[in-house]
Formats: sequence, structure tokens, C-alpha cells
Amino acid sequence: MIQSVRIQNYKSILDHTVELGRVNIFIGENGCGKTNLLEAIAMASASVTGKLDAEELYSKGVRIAKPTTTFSSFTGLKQKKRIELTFGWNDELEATCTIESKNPNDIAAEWVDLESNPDENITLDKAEKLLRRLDEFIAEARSKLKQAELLTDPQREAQVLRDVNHRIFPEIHAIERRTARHLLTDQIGDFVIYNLNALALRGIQVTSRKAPLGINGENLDVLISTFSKKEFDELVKRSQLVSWLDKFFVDPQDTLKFQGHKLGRSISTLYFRDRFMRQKGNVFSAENANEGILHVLFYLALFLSPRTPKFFSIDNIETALNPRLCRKIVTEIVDLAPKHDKQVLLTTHNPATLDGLDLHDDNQRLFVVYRNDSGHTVTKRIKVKPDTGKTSMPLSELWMRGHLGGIPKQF
Amino acid sequence: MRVGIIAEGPSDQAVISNILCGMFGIDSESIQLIRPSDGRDQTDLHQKKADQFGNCELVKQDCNERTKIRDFFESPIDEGERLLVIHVDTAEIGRADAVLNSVRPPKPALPAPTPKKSKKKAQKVTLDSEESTPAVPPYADTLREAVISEIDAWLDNEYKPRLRYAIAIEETEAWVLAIDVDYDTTELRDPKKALFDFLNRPNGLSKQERSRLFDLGEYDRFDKLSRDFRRKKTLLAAAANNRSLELFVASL
Repeated sequence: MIQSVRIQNYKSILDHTVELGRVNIFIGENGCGKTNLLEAIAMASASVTGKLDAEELYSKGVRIAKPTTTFSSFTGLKQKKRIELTFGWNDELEATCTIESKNPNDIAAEWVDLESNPDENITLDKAEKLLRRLDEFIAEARSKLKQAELLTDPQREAQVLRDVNHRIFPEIHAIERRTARHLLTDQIGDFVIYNLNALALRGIQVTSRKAPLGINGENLDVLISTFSKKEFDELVKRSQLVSWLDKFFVDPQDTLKFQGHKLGRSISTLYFRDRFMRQKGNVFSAENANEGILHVLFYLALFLSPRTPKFFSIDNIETALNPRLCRKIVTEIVDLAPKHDKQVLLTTHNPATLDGLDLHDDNQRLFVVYRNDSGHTVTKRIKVKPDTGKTSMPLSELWMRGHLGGIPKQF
Repeated sequence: MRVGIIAEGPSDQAVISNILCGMFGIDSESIQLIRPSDGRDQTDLHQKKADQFGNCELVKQDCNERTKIRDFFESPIDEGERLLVIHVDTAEIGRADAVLNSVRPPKPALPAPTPKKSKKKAQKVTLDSEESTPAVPPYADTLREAVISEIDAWLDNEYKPRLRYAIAIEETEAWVLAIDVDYDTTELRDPKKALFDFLNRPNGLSKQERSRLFDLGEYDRFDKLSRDFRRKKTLLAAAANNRSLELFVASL
């Protein structure tokens, strides 16, 4: 699980580190930089997979901008032409992506990661060769140290030690860096920013070709159709959050379409049955379903499926959800994430979303994102006092009343 | 650190926020605007007259009720030390007039609105009464103490060690003006007008700059006008031009 992300020189984030938990919610004013934070991680994800092209960045949910606009730009500061993204995980591992544009003035120019050299990607064979070289270095170092012991000249001894140090440690660091970069791919390689819209969820508009789920909600029916019985049963059990829902199912051949259940604009084969409607006419397609149930099903399927990314983000999770449902979906996510080994970053503007978090649990974290007085995006983790069982006001109310920050001050 | 502000209006909040940033070296995100920023919705507001909000009476009401103050001090959010600034303009504290009038000396004449020429400490404005009685007890000090006593009475002396009193004599506009002029603004008869005149002075702001400034909302306008308070050096220099600002800054 990713524990820390340091972002340098990406849009409004000049240099900031976030310490992450398993479920992380980011709140803040419009334009404070929440999405920039997610985008920076998505860019690193594209970088470690060696696909830093506009198409891949777009498919991960990054808003493509001219490189000179992508680098941080603040009055009085000289603009740097390099983005650095450093990740820490498993208490000890750390890897960095150092990204530059081949032409900072060209929006379509290719980005390159200076840390990534395809020829130097670690393989078992190469690792063994490196280890053999390291053994040779160590043997040489031992021999030199032995000679040094015999030396009586302290200056000469110090010189030998410096020499050993300079030759061995860069090699060790290089191995560590390459190994860490390789492992980082497993951690963040499939990171995307989900940002749902109704047309994609209904199967009417296909913008994202990402598999197994599109970043706007595409392919929900396809993913559900791959569920095992156990997974599907859990999806059914957890989806009882919507009072009218009797049943949902995927019609793989879309035979219902030919029975007149949809116009044909939608390619989704997901259908619903309403518990209050007459039995003979209570089935309708995703095209006709309300947005709320589509969002709920998408989120649940995303967390339940082993085929979806392990580390991802959802921008504006509250979209189309009733406040109570916002709270409930967060409690479901908090429950599902550790069980299915998912780590998630959520952004929201709906205070009710916060009420699904238990801030006494270190795995559940709430961050206020804001522009500091210099305009740089920074975050502040909201912690509750350990000696309080938290009192009168829910987090939603604390946010609305200004106790958490992350609200406009000028009105 | 978290600092709450209960103030009469958004302009006061903006000015005090900048002073706190300058003095404590904190980011404005560490400041919580408690009043005015109330929890009423538009439906509630419909029932009230607009002029009932954002004035001294409501500061007093908050102090009497104490709900918002308690919520602030007893917040479950862990942000270290908490301080609360209570702001009152002496021009507005009608309820305390009886007390204030007993210590209020005659007001000085309004100086011409001229911009600052040197960084030297300002000369105190000559009061009408000073010619005959040069050793008047410091007007601002006495008035500030009287207002603080009044606020403490509203709060039954609760929370006193964690309170800071932003008592502007007569209005916070006098503090803002103190940034840019080289005379003492403490006892201006009408600081609002003085500031307005200063901003509209010939050879000052261009027509476009003035229009841009006055198009801003109250909070943003005063935030812009008092931004220089975020620099401690400028803040302290301005405090030398206004005794009530100086006393507030010294209390922080």
C-alpha cells in the first residue's frame, strides 16, 4: 500500500507530501488542487508503465495541458521544467519518477521519465549480474580495508575508505532504485481517476476505452458479467441501498433490447427490476435507470472485483447521490477496501460523505486541500483529539461550520 | 494552532486575519471565521432584517449565548493551541456607550488624507483638548480596557486566558489607513470616510484600479487593502500609527 506521495512542480503543487491511509478523502474549495493531486499520481502511473503519451494520460483521467502550464507557475518563482513524483510504500521502499517534456511549449510533445531506461529495467538475469558485481566490489573493499589496517598513515586510510564508499554505495543505490522502480509499477501501474457521468454509465457514450472499467463509468455491465457467483452475490447484498431496487442483471445477448426495453442507443446490457411496479412491466434498461443506482453499482463492483486496479481514485464521489447514500457508500468502501486489498483516494464536495469515516481509525484519513497564502496547493490531515470520542457535531457539520477549513472565506 | 475570529463584519475579519498571519506567521487556513459566517440558511435569513447581521449586537449575542465559542474551544479536531479573537469597533458598541462615554475624550480634527512619505514613526495627531491638558490618560488604552471589561462581562469572564481582543477605535478602517499614511489614525472622527477619501485621493489609484477594488466583495476588498499586515515589519510600522492596533498587536 502506498504510504506517501511527494509531488514536486506539478500544476498548483509546488512541493508537497501526503501521507496516505487506505481510504483517503480530500475536501477543499473548488480549484484548490484536489484533482491536480490525483493527476500527478496518474502521471507517475503512466510513467512507470512507460506510456507517457497524451492518449494514455487522457485515458487515466489526466487533463492534458501545455507542459509550461503543467509545471508549477507562481509569481516570483522561476519555473522548473521537471516534475518529480516520489512514492513510499511498505515502510521502507521508495521510488521516484522524474518527468520532463521534450518540448515544453508543445501540448502534444512527448513526456519522458529520466529515471526510466527501458534497457535498464530490472530482470532476474540483470539483478544477478549486478549482485555478482557487488560481490566483487565487496571483496575488493575488504581487501582494501585489510590493507588500510596495515597502514599507519591516517590520511591514506581515510582515502581508501572514501574510495570504497564512493565505488560501492552508488552501485547499491542504483540497484535499489531500479528494483524500487520496478516494484512501484506493481503498486501504481494501473492507477486511474474515475469520474463518472450518466451517459457513460448508461452505455450511451463511450469515451474511455479503459478496461475493465472505463473512467467515466463505461463497461459496468461487462465487468459484472465476469463476476463469479460469490462476487455477484456480494454485489447484490451490498446494493440494497436503493429502496426501489428488486433485482439487477446482465442480459448478455441483449434479448430484452429486441423486446422493446430500450431504444438501442445504449450498448449497456444491464437491466433493473423495480419492486413497486407491476410484475409484467417492471424491467428497464440502464438507459432508463436513475443515476444513483448506476453510481452505487459502479463503486461496489469496482471495489469487489479483483480485475480492477488496487490503487485508484474517484473524483467527486458524491455525484448523483443523496446525502445519506453518500455516507453509506463511504462506509461500504471503508469495509470493502481492506477485504479486497484496494487503496483509494476520494474527492468530494458533499459534507455528508465525511460522516462515513471513522477518523480514530488510522486507515481512514481526511485531508483538507487548500491553496496556502502563496497559492501553492497543500493538504492538512484532519485528526480528532485522541481523548475525545468525538462529540456533538458530525464531521459534515464541522466542515460546514468552518471547523475543518476547506471552505471559501469571502462569502 | 487554530485561531477563531468573532468580528462585526467581513471587512474586519479580513483585516484581523492578515494581522494574525503577520504576527503568528501562520497561514490563513489556520484561521476560522466564526462570526459572521453563521449557520443560517437563506430561509432563516428571510425572517431577519439584513441590518441585524454582522454587527456589534451579534458579537454580543454570540458572547452571551457562547454556543459558537464553546464549539470552537471544544472542537474534537486536533490542531494544537486554540485562541479566539473577539472584535468590536468602538464606534459600534452602542450597548456600552454609557461606560465608554465616561472615558471618551474629545475627538481630534480630521487630518488631510495624504500618503506616507517617510517610514519614521508617526507624530500623534493633536487633540482639540491637548492644548490645555497635555497629560490626558491615553485615550485608546482607557477605551480599550473599558470595552474589554464589557466583553468579559458578556462572557462572565469565561475563556479569558484564551481570548484576544481586537478593539478598534473607532473602526478597523483606521488600522488599514495606518499602513499607508504618516499620521496617527487612532482618533480619527470618521475612519471609513478617511479611508474612502484616501483611496480616492488625486494622484492615487487609477480609475481602473479604484473600480476593480470597489467591485470586490467586502471581505476581498479589505483583504487586499490590508495584505501588507502579513509582513510583520509593515504591521509593526503601521501599529506605530494607531494606538489601538498597537495594543491589539502587543496582546497577541
